[in-house]
Amino acid sequence: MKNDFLIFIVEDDKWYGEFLEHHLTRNPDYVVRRYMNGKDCLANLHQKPNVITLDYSLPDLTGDEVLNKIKQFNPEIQVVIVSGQEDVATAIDLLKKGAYDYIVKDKDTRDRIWNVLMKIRENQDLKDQLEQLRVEVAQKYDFEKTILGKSPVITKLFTMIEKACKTNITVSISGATGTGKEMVAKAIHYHSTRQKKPFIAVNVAAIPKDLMESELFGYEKGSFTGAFARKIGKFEEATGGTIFLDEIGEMDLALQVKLLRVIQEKEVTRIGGKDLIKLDFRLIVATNKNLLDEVKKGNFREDLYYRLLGLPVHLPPLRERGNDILILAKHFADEFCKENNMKRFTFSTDAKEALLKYPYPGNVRELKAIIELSVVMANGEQLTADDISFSSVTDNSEISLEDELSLDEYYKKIINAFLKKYDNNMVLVAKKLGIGKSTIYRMRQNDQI
Amino acid sequence: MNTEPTLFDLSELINLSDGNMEFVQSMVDLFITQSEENAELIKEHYEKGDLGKVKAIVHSMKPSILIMGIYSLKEDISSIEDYTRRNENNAHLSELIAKMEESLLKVSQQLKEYHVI
Repeated sequence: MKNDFLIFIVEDDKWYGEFLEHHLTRNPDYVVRRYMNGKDCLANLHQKPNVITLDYSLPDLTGDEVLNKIKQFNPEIQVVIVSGQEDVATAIDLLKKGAYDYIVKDKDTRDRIWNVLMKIRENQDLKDQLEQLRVEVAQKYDFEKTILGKSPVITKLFTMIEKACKTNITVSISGATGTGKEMVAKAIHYHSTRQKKPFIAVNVAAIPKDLMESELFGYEKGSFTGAFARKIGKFEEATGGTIFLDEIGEMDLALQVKLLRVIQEKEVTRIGGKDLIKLDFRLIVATNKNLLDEVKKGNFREDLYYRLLGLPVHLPPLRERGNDILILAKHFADEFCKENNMKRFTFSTDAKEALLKYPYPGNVRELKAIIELSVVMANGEQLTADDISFSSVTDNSEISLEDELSLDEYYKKIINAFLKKYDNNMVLVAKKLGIGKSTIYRMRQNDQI
Repeated sequence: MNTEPTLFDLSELINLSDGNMEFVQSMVDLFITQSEENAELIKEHYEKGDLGKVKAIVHSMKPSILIMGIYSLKEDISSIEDYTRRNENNAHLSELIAKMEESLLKVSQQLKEYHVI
């Protein structure tokens, strides 16, 4: 717990004020200041008291007036009303106006105030910890730490993201898997005016289709079998903050209609409910698909596509980022070494060449995995090309146009890759590739695959 | 030997002070000073007809009266508060105020003669 918890005692009776002050100062962490009227207390609010114990009957101002003025000055200051009157109606009224508690002056007052102060202090400490965590999270998602690189494509990306942070415009992030779409979404959120409110991420592909609607929009108790209690949806959870819909291209067409309505009207009705609930969210979506192609194929609604477009941010594949690969590689190596109490590595020239040459189908995520393994496997203080293994973290069936194979060779490579992926299930592979299963059998028999 | 009954009971104050007798003494001393002042002020404001101020002083005295165990005054204080709240200035109120003034001065005198430590 932090030290120096500042308490004001506002009490016009000198005897009782002295009595309270004596007891409160027994806690060495409490700093107590006493005032005998409302005006003196209000004149000293700049000292930022944590708690004010306020006598309801003061000579100059009513307890109501002082409470209101304190709350106008700083709603975070907790006010405990201490009164000689046991008046339930007054107590309720004051609690509604923001008083933390209402305590009657009797023999138990001393202990009650003591307990209330402890509770307030615990809550204050939790709030401070939460604020500190928020700051740490925001720092974690600081642009310069989130998106490393100096290539022209990344510099342009920074500009787009900065523009996104300044408003509540919908952001649509596109990019292949492993390019950092969620990182960018979080960076936008934690640099926006909504940073103190929730960031709710939903991976559309990960949730079964028949559960998606209830996840997103919530449901009322009894609305379907298994709905034992009311549950608010992700859009409600994101109130004041940001909702991030990842893999939006995987959303079922029927649900896309409902989503469009929610986004347009900024209101939702839970499943089985009647009430229209107003929403306040900022929307960020991401996909590794070309949504316009999906629209043309009939898999994505055109009206929803244009609604989601907002500010488009495209994350380029790692192979298009040139020397950023080396910047990222160094960052991942340094981070891994720090986490594992290892000495930092440098990169040899051949290691750098090898890293720059590789196409990274898994993008930044794959690079991170490669680097971490390389650091583990390396000897000495320098990472060499021999330490870097691409094949052990990537699928052997990776097909790259840079290899410049013949069409027949690509054909065999593709079939081999699918057989490996689907455990040599030739029927399934034939179906997936749209070829006859007899073709695969024949190639097998002829040792072509 | 003084045969008058003791008008106060410090056991609650001692209990709430966790046996810190120096603090108890300081609170007794403060009560003496304050009750003499209050007795004067109540009389002064009543004579001026300012029942609001009478009410405020009487109200503020309640916690200290309770903790100092001056039970004889408890009902009188409540009655004075009721009358002054209703702005009723009557003979009974006048009696109660005179009685309160006398009682406060008596308590004050008894406390001066009492040795805490």
